[in-house]
Amino acid sequence: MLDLSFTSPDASIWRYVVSSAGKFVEVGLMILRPEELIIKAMDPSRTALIEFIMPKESFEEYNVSEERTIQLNFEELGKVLRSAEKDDRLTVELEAATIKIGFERRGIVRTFTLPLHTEAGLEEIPELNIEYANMFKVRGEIFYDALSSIEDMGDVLKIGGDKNVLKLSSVSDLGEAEVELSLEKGVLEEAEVGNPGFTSSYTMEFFTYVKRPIKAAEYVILRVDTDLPAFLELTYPQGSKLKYYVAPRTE
Amino acid sequence: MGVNLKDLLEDYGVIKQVNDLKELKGKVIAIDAYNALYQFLAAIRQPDGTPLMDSKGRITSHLSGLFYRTINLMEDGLKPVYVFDGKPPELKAKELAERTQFREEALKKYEKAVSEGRLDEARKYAQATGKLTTDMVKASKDLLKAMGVPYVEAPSEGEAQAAYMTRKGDAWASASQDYDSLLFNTVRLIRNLTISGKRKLPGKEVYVEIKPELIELESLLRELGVTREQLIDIAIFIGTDYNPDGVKGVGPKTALKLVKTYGSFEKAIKALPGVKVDFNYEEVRRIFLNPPVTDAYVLNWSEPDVTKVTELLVEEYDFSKERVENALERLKKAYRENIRTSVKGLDMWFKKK
Repeated sequence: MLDLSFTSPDASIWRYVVSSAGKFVEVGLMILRPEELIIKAMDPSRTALIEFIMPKESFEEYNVSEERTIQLNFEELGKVLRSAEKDDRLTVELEAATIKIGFERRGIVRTFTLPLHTEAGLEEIPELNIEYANMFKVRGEIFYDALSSIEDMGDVLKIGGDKNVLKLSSVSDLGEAEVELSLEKGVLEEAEVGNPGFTSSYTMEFFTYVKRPIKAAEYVILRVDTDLPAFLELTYPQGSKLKYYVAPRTE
Repeated sequence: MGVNLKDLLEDYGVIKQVNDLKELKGKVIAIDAYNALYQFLAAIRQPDGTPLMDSKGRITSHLSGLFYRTINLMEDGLKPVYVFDGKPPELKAKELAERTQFREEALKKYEKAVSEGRLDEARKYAQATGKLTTDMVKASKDLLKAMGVPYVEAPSEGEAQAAYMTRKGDAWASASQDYDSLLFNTVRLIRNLTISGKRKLPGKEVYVEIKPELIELESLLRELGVTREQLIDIAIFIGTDYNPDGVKGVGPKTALKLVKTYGSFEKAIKALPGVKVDFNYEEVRRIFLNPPVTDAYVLNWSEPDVTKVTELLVEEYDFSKERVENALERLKKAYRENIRTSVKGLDMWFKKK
């Protein structure tokens, strides 16, 4: 018996999100509600939390009448989604014991059936409650380029800022590389800095993991402050959002 | 060997599997050093059971295990501290004598199996022959010091000292294969920490995945419906290092039933006609309840001393220079990323329910 199903017009964003999450956590949750679908996961060391939210309206078809939570194995799903391309239509059907994933490209449909993992013992992933004094809005591609240009320099990403300026730097024993994004030069779309001179450090690899979803995003909204988790909100067409928290490093 | 509570704990579902060591990132783990070194000595061997040795014929399996496994743990973000045994309690003499005899018998069987070309069996017996000498323990401490990993000298039992450190809040958990840590009042016990990974079953071409297990004393006592003192009494029935034979005919399930019914070991014994107790159960209980422990330790992780590690492992014990250099790079990175600076974790920002 078919329990629920949905069809998404762009399979590639699913591929990016699942592949990113799969780099730091094996399993996550898919929460299906009548009004939205959420993929949520937190890495075992509780350093990063990822939450992908797709409103009902972002789907071509969405048949979910009651809330249900299932466990997702990112490795298994990642293998299936590896061939997904932009403009592939993605159809997911959930039955009692299986999840059926179909891609349609130029009229050709490929279908994969995976076992549905037990719903018993699913651990709830907590919500975060943080108030930030600083916010920067930047286009996804620009943030992607900024990260790419410094990621190889070191293992630590330092984020700092002043009024209208966001500074990303990569620090290692060898030296430091810095990128400056400013409102003045038209690189930042928006900046609200309540705590000028703030600075905080993060493990670089947790940003590298989400580079593809960043590149595919229309905008990245970054909220950050001294010794607080970095919070990225990536926005996509059709109203989908990826929320991503990374815990800070301390000496 | 310690008390065998395995079946009881499995029956009551108090063993949690740790699927990923990163779940323990940032946590200080007090590792029962002798227990870990004996594990390395048993597991790290050639196919015929011969331990790793240097050109002078000195065993190096323990150093190999200690070096590479400690680096693995630190790469996953754990902060290990090794706790070495001091003087054993006098009541342990019988257990220690039995272990010596067991090793001697295993050695004879090993030599016979080798001479008859039965290599699989030889390996099985060889694993039981390992004996840590004073020199091996000293080299292990020298290695830890050079790696920048702290160690603690317990006045008596290492597990008791590790348990005490968890109670003080200096360590998050003890790590040992022995359940005795629970009797010594550890807050949490991690088993299989130093042997996790793929392991070959003795005598078979079958590999199993061994994952670390976490046991929380509070939830264990709650599930069993006993106090810590009663848990010790259950162990006394089954047999501990200080009364290895326990009480004849009483296994874990019966011991639990007896202690819950009568309240304590002595009351249960009185109610069992014909049962003889030929050991000082009060002394055994005292060892678990009031073991000698010390506050004279400093937990300080430091930058690895590459020169000293290389001198010890490569020059003194003939380890491969290339492998040691590669591992030292990993250790330096692990120290830099997980010890010198650390990640707070998101926990403190979770919404309160």
